[in-house]
Amino acid sequence: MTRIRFAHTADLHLDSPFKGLRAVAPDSVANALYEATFKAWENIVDLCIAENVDALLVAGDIYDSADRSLRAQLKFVEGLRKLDEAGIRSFVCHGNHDPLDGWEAQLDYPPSCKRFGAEWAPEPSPVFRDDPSRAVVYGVSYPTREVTENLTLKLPQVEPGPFSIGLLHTNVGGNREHESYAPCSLSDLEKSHIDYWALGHIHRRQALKEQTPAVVYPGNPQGRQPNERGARGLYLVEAEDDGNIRLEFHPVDLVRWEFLRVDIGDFETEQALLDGLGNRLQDMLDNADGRSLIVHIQLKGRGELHRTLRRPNAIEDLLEELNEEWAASRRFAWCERIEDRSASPFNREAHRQEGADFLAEVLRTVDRAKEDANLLAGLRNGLDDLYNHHRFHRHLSGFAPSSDQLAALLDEAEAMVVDLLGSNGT
Amino acid sequence: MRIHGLHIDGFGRFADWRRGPFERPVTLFHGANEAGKSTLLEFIRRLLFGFPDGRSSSNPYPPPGGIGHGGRLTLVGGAGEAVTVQRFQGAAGGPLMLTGANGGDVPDSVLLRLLGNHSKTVFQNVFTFTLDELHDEALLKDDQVNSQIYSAGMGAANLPKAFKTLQEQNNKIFLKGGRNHKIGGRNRKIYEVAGKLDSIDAYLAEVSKNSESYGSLSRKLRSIESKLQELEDRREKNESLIDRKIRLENAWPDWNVLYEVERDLRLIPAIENFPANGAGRLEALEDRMRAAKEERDSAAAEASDVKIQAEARIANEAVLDRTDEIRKLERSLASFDNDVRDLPERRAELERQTSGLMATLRELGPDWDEVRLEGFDLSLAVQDQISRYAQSLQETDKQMEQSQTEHVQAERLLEEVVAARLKAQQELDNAPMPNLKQDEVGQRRTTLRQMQSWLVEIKSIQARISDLQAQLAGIESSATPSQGQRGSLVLSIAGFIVGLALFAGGAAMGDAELFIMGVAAGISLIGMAAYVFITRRPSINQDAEPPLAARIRESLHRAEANLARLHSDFEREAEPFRLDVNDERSLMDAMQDLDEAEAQLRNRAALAATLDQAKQLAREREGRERQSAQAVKQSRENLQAAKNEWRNWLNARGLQGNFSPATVEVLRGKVELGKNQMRTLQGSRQSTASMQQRIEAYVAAVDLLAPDFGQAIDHRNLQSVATAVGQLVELRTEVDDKVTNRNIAKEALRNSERRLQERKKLLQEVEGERQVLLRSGGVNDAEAFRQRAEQHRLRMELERKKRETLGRLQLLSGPGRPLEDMMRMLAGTNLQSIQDSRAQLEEERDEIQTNLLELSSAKGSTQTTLDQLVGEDESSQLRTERHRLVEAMRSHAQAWAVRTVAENLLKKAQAKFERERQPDVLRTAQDFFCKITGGRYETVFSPLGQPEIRVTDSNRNVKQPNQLSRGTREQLFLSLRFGLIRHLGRHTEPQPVILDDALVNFDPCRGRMAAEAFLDLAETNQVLVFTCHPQIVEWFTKAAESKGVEPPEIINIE
Repeated sequence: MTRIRFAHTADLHLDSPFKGLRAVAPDSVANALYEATFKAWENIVDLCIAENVDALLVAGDIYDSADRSLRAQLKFVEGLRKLDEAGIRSFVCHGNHDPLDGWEAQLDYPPSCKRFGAEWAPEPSPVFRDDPSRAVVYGVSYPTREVTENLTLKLPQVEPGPFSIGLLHTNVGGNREHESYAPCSLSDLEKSHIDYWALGHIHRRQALKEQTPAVVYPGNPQGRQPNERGARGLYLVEAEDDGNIRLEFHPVDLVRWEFLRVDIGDFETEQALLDGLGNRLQDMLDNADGRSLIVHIQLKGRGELHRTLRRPNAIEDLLEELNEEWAASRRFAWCERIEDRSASPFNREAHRQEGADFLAEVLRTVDRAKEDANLLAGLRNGLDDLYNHHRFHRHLSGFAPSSDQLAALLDEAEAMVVDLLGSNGT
Repeated sequence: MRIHGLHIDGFGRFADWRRGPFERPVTLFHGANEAGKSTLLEFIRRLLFGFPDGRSSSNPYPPPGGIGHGGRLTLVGGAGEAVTVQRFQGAAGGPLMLTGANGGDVPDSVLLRLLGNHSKTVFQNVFTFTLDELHDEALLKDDQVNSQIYSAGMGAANLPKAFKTLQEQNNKIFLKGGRNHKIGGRNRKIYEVAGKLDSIDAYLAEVSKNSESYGSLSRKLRSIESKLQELEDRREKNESLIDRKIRLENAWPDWNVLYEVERDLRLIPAIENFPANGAGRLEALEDRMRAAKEERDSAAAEASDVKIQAEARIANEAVLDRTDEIRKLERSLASFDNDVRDLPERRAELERQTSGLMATLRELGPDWDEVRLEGFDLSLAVQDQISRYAQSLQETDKQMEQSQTEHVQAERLLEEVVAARLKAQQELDNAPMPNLKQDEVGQRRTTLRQMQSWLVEIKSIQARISDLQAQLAGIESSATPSQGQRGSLVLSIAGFIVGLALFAGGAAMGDAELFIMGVAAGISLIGMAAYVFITRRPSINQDAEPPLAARIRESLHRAEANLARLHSDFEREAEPFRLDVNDERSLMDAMQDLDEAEAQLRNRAALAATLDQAKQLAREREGRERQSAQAVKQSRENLQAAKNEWRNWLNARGLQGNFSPATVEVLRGKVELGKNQMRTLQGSRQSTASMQQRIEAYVAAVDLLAPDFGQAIDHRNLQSVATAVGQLVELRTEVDDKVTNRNIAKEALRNSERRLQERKKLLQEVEGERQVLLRSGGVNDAEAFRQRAEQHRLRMELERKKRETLGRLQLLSGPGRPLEDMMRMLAGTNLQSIQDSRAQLEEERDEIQTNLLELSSAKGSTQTTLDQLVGEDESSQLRTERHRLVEAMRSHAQAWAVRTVAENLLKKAQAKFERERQPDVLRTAQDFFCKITGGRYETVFSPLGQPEIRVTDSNRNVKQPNQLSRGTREQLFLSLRFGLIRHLGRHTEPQPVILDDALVNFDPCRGRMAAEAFLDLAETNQVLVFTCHPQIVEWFTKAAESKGVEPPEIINIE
């Protein structure tokens, strides 16, 4: 028999802008992007009401305090009020982007909403006020942005009996893709006697553990940057009396990010490439559950078409043509960039090994640089002039190419050099 | 190749000047200025590659007067072969002569080989050079030379442009050096992005301040809303009071009306339970009573009328009982009338038909009656038999006729052919019989043609003999060669003229024989004349007979022999014809006789053939005549057999035997007609009888009925029968109509009586209702009832007015408020008091309204500000734009980084390539240059992709040639030549190296080092040095000593 049925979400980042976009979006796309996080939140609220869940748990990073978006907080409270009117309780904790000391408008939260403070409360909050022994929620918010201590260590003794939920914004196991706030280990969570850890902070959906205790990141409900691809949503969680837990993912996103890599060797003309890209975009739209797409296209491989693409503004023209066709409709597939990593059609390996000309020396130098740290370091000579420039440092800091990135840059540089040495230099 | 010696015949100041052999590796020509060192160098160049054009001004080396401008060089090839090169000033570089060691000629290609196939330019630039030429960069501009020095074919042609492109593209993004903003840096892409970012950040900072005021504004708004609510409550209360006053004011007129109505009601007593609308109802009931009475009286009158009709008596009503019989007679009446009318006609028709049949029987014959007529067979089988007999008789008759016609024709044809046979026989008998047979005619014609041929030949030979005899006589009459020549010339001319005349004469004559002879003789004479003319020139042997005379004589003998043979043959064959060889006419007559005999033979043969044909045709026609006669006989027999058979058929049917099938067909038609007439007659007889029977039966039936109803009939007048039947029918119809009308009247009577009862009952009911109404009004009299009804109506009117007034007052009292409250208020006040109170309340309301407006405005303002804060989404867009710009900046940075790395990559590869992959020439040059400069300079290289030379000193400073001192630059170019000489020498014949005071700018140290270098070079290449400097001689001498090599040969030029 079902003891509790609740929705678990996190990292709403309401009104936070999309990152990583290079092109200027047309108005229709831009409006969709501005509304995307709000729409995802509305979808969450609507889903909770439609599914008549017992409660909604929000595990931090509801908005970015630094943005001071009043609209974000109002929309959030508005959604909570709708839930309240539908008789659905809500439990909220704050994370590193919306810590308790961050800017916050003076808003009235509905009475059914429980916002957790900077300390674990000695007593958990019951989900069902008329039946406190059925399910309870333990939760804690970030008092400030930089929380580096393991918050699970201060969790009070969890009393057996009620189905217990832990609501926490944390980086379990030190995920390197995200900042290591409130770090803890999976074993810290396992030994806590919590039945379900409703976590936030990691934007990729994952259940580190599905049963007793379940340790779950629902991911963010709307991808906001190129590496947040695919469907985004929340988990509907159903806990049985016997302790069995069922997770059910529901997408609530409005726009999805996709990455499209195309080998130019498959195409002979610009038109053929355009058609091929169009076909791929159509396939992506067909498989996007009715969502619109932001697409990052990467051209790779070797082919004659590379020479065409190297013409001034060729890539920009290609991007414009694609977006004229695919970004105009209500369900759009907007290409935010075309990254040209294609190269001229020649047998690199044979030339490197057997060539006696200067180009062969260049290719050999590239290969040596990838194995010789000193040589590689020599090739990055001068980069700091820009990356450490006082005028740009605050934007470029941390983006100077690392050794690994330099190897990738080197491939691009090689393709460029091959073109320059092979052509008339333009 | 080495220069072994030289010999100047004349060149510049040198005349008949010779030196050599040059056996040593290095030879120094030492002499003062203008001693002729450069002249010697130029002499060697010109001898090897030619003199300049004589018209050229570049010929500063004229020889001393009168001697040849040029000389000789003795060269020795790598294989030891010696070749002397000799050249003097002249066209196309001057004539070149190459001779070998044995003095023999040597091809020019040997010189080219000895010169290593180098061009003049290469030879001059690389192997023979003066001081001026040493540092002349022409060396590096020669394609053949610089292709050996620079990195041509190394795939780096685009390298400089690649560097330039990378730098240009990067500079558009970010210019290194830290002063971008001061030198147009604002136009760099990354600065543009940074500037936009700064603007956005400033705006966002401003917007964030606005957001902070949201809390205070929210509190202010809540306070305003609270005050507004309080005022709203007051206003509502005030409005309620005003409303009450207005209602009282509005209710005041009704209040007065109510008072008056209640007063009147008290004056009119109430009648309890008086029927509603009593007066109207009474009037209606009385109207209904009047109508009911009228209907009752009408029904009674109607019933009385109908009763008379229902009880009426009808005469002859019994006729209805005989209805069936009457209707049967009625139905048959028309048939009876027809029968009566038609019977006389039928009888007349019967008589006509009987007469017709009798006439037909009489036509058929006296023994024909109806019985035989009936028994005659008219079947299709009989008709078919008649047709077949008719066809058989017709065919046999036709055959008979045809065979007779054919027989007559055959007899006529036979007569014709017999007459033709007799005529042919007579013609043959009358035709002349020739004396020769056909074969004899052929033989004689052959013989005569042969003789004709011989005769032509005889004439030809006779003419030839005459001709030959004339020629021979001419030849024999010539005594001397000149005479002979002249004679033969005359003879040939005469012969030619005569021959031509014969030819023309023959051609002009129409006769064939003459033509042949004339032409033949003419041709012979022309040929002879030509022969004599041609053969008159050769020398003639004066001691022997001329060969022509002998040949003519021989021809003459052969012609005479032939003539004799032909005469013999002619005479032998002419014997039977008795012809003379000289009488051509007799031969022609013989041929004509032969033609006539042949014509007679052809005529008789044709007549005989005609006779044979006539005989053959007569035989054929006789056969045909016999056949036709036989056919006539057979036809006659067939015809007779057919007739017998037909006659038998007629007899079998009792018909006359002379009837033809056509006659029988006619008879058969008559019989068929008779049969039809007989059948028609029989039908008429039956129908007439039947008609008579029907008439009689009808009359009998009428007889049984008519008397019962007073109708009498006359059996003689059948029309009276029909009249009686008509009257019976009419009577029955009339009685039937009367009975029907009586039955209808009976039904109407029943209905009228029922309706009368209903009207009476209705009248009673209405009367009852009236009484009830009167009683309910408390009276029994209608007038009294009407008075009470009027009183009741007035009271009801007042009560309705009271209710309406109260209703309006209820409405004015307001929803949910008891009317009594307002009634009490109205009772306790007056209109003026109400109006005063209302004015006071309205003043208070205006004051509240003013306060409300002010607070609402404040609320709206605050709310607008809050809405702006809430609805402000520009910051969202700016944050997105900010991220996009940051991304753009990083993108620019990455693009810049890629190009920077590409530039670094090119530099690294270039450095290594230049270090490791310099051409052989430069590496050798580098060795020499390093040696000559004592290690001051370490490397000589060509930057990749650039046609330039660079050197690196021991401090790793890179310098271009124009950055070096003159001496060092000359040493560099000398080293480059060393490199080229070594490089070229590996592939071709080593060439002698000749330098003209090229080391004068070297310091002693470097001079000695250079001399040593030359000594090294002399191991492979002969070195000839022209100098005016003893020091240079000394450098070489000492260098040779220090190296322990053979010292140079020193030749003084004075």
